Amino acid sequence: VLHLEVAMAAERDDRAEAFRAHTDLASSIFLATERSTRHAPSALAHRTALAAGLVLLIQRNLISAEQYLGETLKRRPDDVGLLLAYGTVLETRAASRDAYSAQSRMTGAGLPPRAGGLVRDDLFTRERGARRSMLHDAAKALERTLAIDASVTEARIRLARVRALEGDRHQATVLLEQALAAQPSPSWEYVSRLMLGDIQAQEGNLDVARQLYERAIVLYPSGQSAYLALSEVIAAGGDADAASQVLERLFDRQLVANDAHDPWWDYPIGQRSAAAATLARLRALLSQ
Amino acid sequence: MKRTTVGLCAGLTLTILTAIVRSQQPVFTSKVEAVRVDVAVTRSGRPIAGLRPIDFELRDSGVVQQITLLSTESLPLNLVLAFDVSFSVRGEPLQRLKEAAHAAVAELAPNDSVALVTFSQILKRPFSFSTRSADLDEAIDALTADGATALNDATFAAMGLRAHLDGRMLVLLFTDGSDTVSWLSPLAVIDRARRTDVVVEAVLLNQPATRLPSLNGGPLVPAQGRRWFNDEPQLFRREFIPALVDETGGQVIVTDRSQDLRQLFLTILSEFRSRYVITYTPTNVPAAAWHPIDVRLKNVQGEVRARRGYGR
Repeated sequence: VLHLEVAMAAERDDRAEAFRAHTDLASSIFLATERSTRHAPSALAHRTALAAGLVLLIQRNLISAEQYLGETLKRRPDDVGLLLAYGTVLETRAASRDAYSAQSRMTGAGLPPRAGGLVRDDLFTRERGARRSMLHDAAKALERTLAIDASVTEARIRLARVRALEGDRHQATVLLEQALAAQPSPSWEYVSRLMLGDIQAQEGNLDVARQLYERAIVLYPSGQSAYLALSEVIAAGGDADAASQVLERLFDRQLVANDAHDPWWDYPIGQRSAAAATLARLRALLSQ
Repeated sequence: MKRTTVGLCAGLTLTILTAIVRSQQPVFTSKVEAVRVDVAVTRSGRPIAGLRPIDFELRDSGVVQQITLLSTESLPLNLVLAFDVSFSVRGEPLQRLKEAAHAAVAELAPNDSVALVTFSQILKRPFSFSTRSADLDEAIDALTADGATALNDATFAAMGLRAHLDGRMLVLLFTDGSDTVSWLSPLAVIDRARRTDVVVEAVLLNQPATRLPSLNGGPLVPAQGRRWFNDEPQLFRREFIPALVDETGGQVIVTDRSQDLRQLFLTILSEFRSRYVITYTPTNVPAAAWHPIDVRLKNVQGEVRARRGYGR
């Protein structure tokens, strides 16, 4: 627990090497502990399993996180925390998938080479299929999360993004509007407004998108994505001068590195706050 | 080092004029946009000098246009150094990048201006558009590398600084990898590129940790990679830089050696100065949102690189 807390502090301070070292240690200890506590009181086993999954997620060790969380869910299929973490991993894997790197991993893993240009020519179809499959599985995990506990706003927002990535803007809009109506935390409201603005811009509703982005800037003036999104939507409307002025606002915030914070940067790995809460509960259980 | 030529077409600049068109229908009924196109002409990789307007043929939306050539000496250069300073650039690559930046800045003319934009996940502008100065040298020396890579966001912002500037604008983009954290999609950046006259020249440092893997079946056919990128831009995000520079009439240079950066930067600047600047007033072209441009040579052997068109 201490290693992970140190690692999370290092990550907040942008100290990548310290983050890596401490999460490596924490993940090893958590995984070993989880194995030895499967028959221990369920609360401790649950928190340990969730912490292990979140460590792997925060560490961006997404393939291991998917495998571990998938296995753990077989034992605890209705665990909301595990379901949300699993959905997050799949969503992030799908969104960040790089076709060429995936191909390289397959080749490096010793898969049989195929004749001529077949592998190259099949790449598009296979990769698109793989991504769609991940999105489908992510949606299932997130829908299951909401079916068990409809108040988990993060699951609603993540499901909206999955739907948007699948091309279902209507369903994504419905989910995001529901999430905003639930008055989420400022960071989740910020991300929701960005996503909803993007959908509105794609629908051609540039003024609506602009209002959503301007509200997001008010929520997180030290953020970055909302300025860029606002500049983009203004440029798309044909006003290059105004779009440039938004960029000037972005650059003129007089930020130093550690002052810049944008919830979008945390979104893909997600759940840093969930990890912190899990650790607090785990610490309390261990002390009993 | 290898040079990858990414596309033919043309580089342009849009300048709003207020001339009235009375007889040409259905286009430009209230005002005419004079279009400026930055054109690189090379033979065996070397710029060709001394060409005249009669040596070019330019088509806007398939219609041949009456062109003039502008003197590049009369047009100040606005250079944006857009540098990836993410974690993977640490160490020797960053040091070489600083040396290359100093060398490039030293080549600027007194009336040229330069800005420095850096990006990890955070975009910064340590030096805003101005003539070169000691402050710029200090800003370059102070660069440090850490964090993720907001390549899409950074290229969008670098191009978007164009609005208030006269003269030509070149974004010299350096990166060693593909995007990991941007909010903006690659296609949003491409769309922005289509609405400006900025030329983007990219230098891609092909480090082992971020190297593009080879594929079974040989390298991609560029057009194939482009089709895949257009259909699935996130999945094929490594095609982003070639697609971007192609839109702007630039090119991407790939090198495995950070020691090459200095010479590459100097070559890019020199070649940019040797470009031709064509201007014309669109005539008899449809009032479409997208205007494809095709620039060719007449009676001269050589390769032409310019932007693919312009959006309105």
